[in-house]
Amino acid sequence: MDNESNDNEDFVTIHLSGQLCGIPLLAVHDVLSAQRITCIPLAHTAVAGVLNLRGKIVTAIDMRKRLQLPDTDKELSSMSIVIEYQGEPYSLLIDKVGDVISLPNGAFEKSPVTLDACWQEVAKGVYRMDKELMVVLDVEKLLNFNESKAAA
Amino acid sequence: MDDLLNEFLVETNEAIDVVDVELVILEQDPNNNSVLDNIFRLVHTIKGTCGFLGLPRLESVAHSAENVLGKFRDGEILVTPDAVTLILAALDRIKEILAGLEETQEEPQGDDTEIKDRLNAMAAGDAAPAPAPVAPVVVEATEATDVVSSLGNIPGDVSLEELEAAFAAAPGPGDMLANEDSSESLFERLGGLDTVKVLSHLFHNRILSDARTKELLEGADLRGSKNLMTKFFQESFEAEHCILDKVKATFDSFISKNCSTSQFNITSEHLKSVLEEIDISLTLIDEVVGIYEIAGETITENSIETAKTSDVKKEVSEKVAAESNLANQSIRVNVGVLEELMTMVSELVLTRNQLMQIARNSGDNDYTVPLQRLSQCTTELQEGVMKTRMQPIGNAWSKLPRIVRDLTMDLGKKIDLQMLGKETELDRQVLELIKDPLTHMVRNSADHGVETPDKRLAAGKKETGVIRLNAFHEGGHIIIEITDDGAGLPVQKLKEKALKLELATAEELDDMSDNQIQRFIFHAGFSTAEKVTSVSGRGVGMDVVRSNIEKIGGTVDLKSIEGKGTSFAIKIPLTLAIVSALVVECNKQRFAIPQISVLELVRACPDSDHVIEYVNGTPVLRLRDRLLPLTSLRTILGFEEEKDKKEDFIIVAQVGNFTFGIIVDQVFDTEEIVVKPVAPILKDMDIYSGNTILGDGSVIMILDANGLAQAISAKSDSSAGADFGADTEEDGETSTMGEEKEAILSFKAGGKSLKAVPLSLVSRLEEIDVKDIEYSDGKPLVQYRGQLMPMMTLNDTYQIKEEGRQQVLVFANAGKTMGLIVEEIIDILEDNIEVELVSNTKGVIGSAVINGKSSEIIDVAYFLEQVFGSWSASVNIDKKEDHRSNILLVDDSTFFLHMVRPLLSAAGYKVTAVSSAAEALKFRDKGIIFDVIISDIEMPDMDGFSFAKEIKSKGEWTEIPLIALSSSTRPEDYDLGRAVGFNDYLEKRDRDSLIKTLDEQIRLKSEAA
Repeated sequence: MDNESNDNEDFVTIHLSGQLCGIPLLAVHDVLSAQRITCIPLAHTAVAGVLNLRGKIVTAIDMRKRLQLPDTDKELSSMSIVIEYQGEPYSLLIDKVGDVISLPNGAFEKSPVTLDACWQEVAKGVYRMDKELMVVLDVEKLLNFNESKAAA
Repeated sequence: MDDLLNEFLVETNEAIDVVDVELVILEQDPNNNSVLDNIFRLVHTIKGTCGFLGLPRLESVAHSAENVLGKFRDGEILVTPDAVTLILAALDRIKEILAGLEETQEEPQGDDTEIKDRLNAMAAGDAAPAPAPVAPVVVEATEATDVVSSLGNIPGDVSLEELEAAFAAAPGPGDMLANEDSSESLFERLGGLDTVKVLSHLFHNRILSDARTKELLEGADLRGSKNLMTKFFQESFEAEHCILDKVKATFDSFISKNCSTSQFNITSEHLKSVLEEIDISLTLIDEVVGIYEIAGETITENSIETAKTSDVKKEVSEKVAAESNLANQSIRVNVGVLEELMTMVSELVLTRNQLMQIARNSGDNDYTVPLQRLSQCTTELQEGVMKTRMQPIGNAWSKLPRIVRDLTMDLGKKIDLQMLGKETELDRQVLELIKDPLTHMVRNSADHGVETPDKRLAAGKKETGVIRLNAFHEGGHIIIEITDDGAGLPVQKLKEKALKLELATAEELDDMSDNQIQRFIFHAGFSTAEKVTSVSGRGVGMDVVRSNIEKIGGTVDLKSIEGKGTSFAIKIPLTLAIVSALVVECNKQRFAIPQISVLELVRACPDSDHVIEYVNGTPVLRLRDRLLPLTSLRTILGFEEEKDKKEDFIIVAQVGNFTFGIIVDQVFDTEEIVVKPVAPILKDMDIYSGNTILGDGSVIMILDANGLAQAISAKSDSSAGADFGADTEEDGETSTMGEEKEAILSFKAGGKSLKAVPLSLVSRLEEIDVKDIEYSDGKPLVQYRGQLMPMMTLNDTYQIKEEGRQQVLVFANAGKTMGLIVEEIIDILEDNIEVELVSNTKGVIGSAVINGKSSEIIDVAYFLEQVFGSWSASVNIDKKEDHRSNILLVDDSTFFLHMVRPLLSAAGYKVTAVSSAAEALKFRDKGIIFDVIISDIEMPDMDGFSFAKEIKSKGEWTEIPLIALSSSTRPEDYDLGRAVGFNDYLEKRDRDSLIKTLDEQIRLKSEAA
């Protein structure tokens, strides 16, 4: 792979129901293990609740619900990564956090048009990797779900 | 340097703000010397500090302003509006320079000659000729001569010739500039011993010539004292950062008496004018004065003490002393530090809560007592820190007098600005945020609201308009009212503008009330000012005001009557970061409810006094003889209802005048919680006002009583099944407003058809055992609350059950109750009753569609008459037949007439009911007199307001008391009602006050007669 940093972008990879996704490294503030989450009745289904992160209240988003994936029966959704959006911290509940990888810009492609509408909305594009494909998630779009038609 | 500059900026800005206000006061009261002194002192300080920091532009402007103020003080110039305007202009210039300074850390470039010239001209106006800058030496010399000669032949060691020689020898101003090298001592820069000698001579003479300071030098040997003074100056100037003790010693030696602060200030002024006269450059003057004042401070310190103890007559000095003491009692703290402190206290509170939780769980042990103390201290600390953040609202108002004053000058108006409740405190953050909106609104009132004096006089008002600001606390909120007695908002113009901007169609506008139309001013780009003035009318006003206020969770409302004035009411939360809240449990989750919205807690279980009862599955609670609507928090939050609950906890909450109960599973205790806002993506959820971290580290949501109330009313709307979406948009006010909708009790009583009766007519719902029913005179009765209550069935087709329990609707009237036996209570609905088919059956008014089903509306009046008819004599035992008051009841709704008439008859009045104003007026034409007229407001053809106007305008009815009875009880309707001649204005449902008001009006009338 090309090692020139200018042409590369760093991602934190996450696993979601078997799909590899990436979030720009610089957007990630924290990686958390299982936390006690207070659920918020009546909130958007994708909002899992709120949690206390070192005295700060963080809103937790259930990524499976957000991306309309089936619920896990096992307690897989145990990890989360914390990102910031409009100055507020959000924690994204995911199955597993992978590595930090650096990918060349050349391997980036726009999302295929046939992608599901919900994914289409939050995916910036896809990276072609040796063995699999990594979907780059757009943090802003991910959290701006008031406007999206995602499961209400 | 940066810190110094910052401090200077803060201080100077504050000082200028004060001067702004004080100048306005001075203008109104030109003889107020203490105000003038204060202004003078502040401007002088600004000037002095500027000189010290090397800010020539600022200094020169301040200096010129000070000159004029000095003349004010000496009574040489009168305090005229023109003069004040000029000084204010100078202050504005200073502000400008300060703003530039703040931005760039450097004095901005600019030319102040014009303003300075004007100030100087003003100062020169009636005063002795100011030194002409062209030939300073000559003029100075002559003036010095004047001084000397005016004092008579004072023996001095300096003769005139010597003086002139000294001046010639002293370097001129030009040379001085060249010589201004900071490495040289001040003494040298001033021009050496010669200048100092001249200075001493003049200064000495000045002190002697001033009656206030004369005593300082009295009795001393003049020559010796002058020499000592020269020595004093020499030493202090040479020493640069003078050795105070030494200076003090020399100062003491030439001043024979103790010197008070005020005297010292006078001498310092003299020194300055002397320095100016001998044309020392401004920077140097300030250096000299600065040193003199530093020396003076130590010298006068002792004298202040003496002044305080030894009852010196001079009030001024006492005042200065008091002020300086006051100044020492407060210190300047960076806001950041306070914020940090607040955060720490919040954390401390949380930790305290956690500890207390542990202590509670582990029972009594050694820690209990110290923990209690810790808890107490924490609470006090928290209160203390909260207090540091509170500031009186007057701080946000301080600029307003100046603004209004300038406006009155510009626009040629006369305005009296009244400010009430200045000391009302609110959080610093909130204060900052409302400052601008407030200023804007006051400016608007002054510009658009208050008319010019001639217009006011023409309209029969006082020449001077009043703008009143009033701030006060009300139930966890702060209300700020801005009222003016100006022209009010022109509805017609607003309409045209709204049409032009396409905010509404003509038809929509016709349907709107004046108030709704006036509220258009909160729309962006809306300005009705005919021409755009420099002050307002650029259309960026009220919408910004509103959005700013809403940003901090506040609301703004307006009330305006054209020609009378406008009143704005801003309601803002105290938004204290820490509030006390009740922690409750629902579905194994905890929630917090702010204490402020909780009225009381009720525990309900089957064997207690309070039992939850159900009306068609809707829970209600009898609470002190009233039915309290209940909703389970589970229902609101969408959880399953718990089966087989043994006990319930009910939180009685109040929003506006809507009281309701919320059923929760468990109530824990009250905790002090730190409110943190919810993430933006949860912002549109009205039922939460924030979230918080509890003592055990878990996060819980804070419920918002307003949101809960809204959720409840939304629910009742949807269960009513009707499409009233459009009506309910007025955020949650439906619960209190109600419009034409009423709560209707629907029930069955024989036959298949549904029966309905307005809930407001029903006093209670009871269930009685059939065995308790007794018969007297062939009529069924029960013993109810110590009285006999007659019972009725709806009609003959429905018979009382043989056994079991029977549901009864209880109607009460004038202390008597009756029960209507019904088969089954179906539901309580919200709908409007519109009788479509009038019935001939007795006891039934007619049929109406309620909630999509046709229902028979029961004529309560009929039943009351049936039962009480025979008893009416006893009911009205004190009201003899021929003394019964005649009442005319006007209402277009036959249903309502049917409802109210029996009430009034039962209360002992003779009622004539008509369904339109026109019919009512026919009685007047016939010359029939009534004791009281009760009228509806919303009627076709002629509404209540016009009806009242008509009655009051002519004919025999002008003296008859008028009572308005309306379903709309908006305050503006109320005011209008009063204005057109209604003696009272009541809400339709309010039956009790109707009777009370009637009695009162009749009593008043008979008293008057």
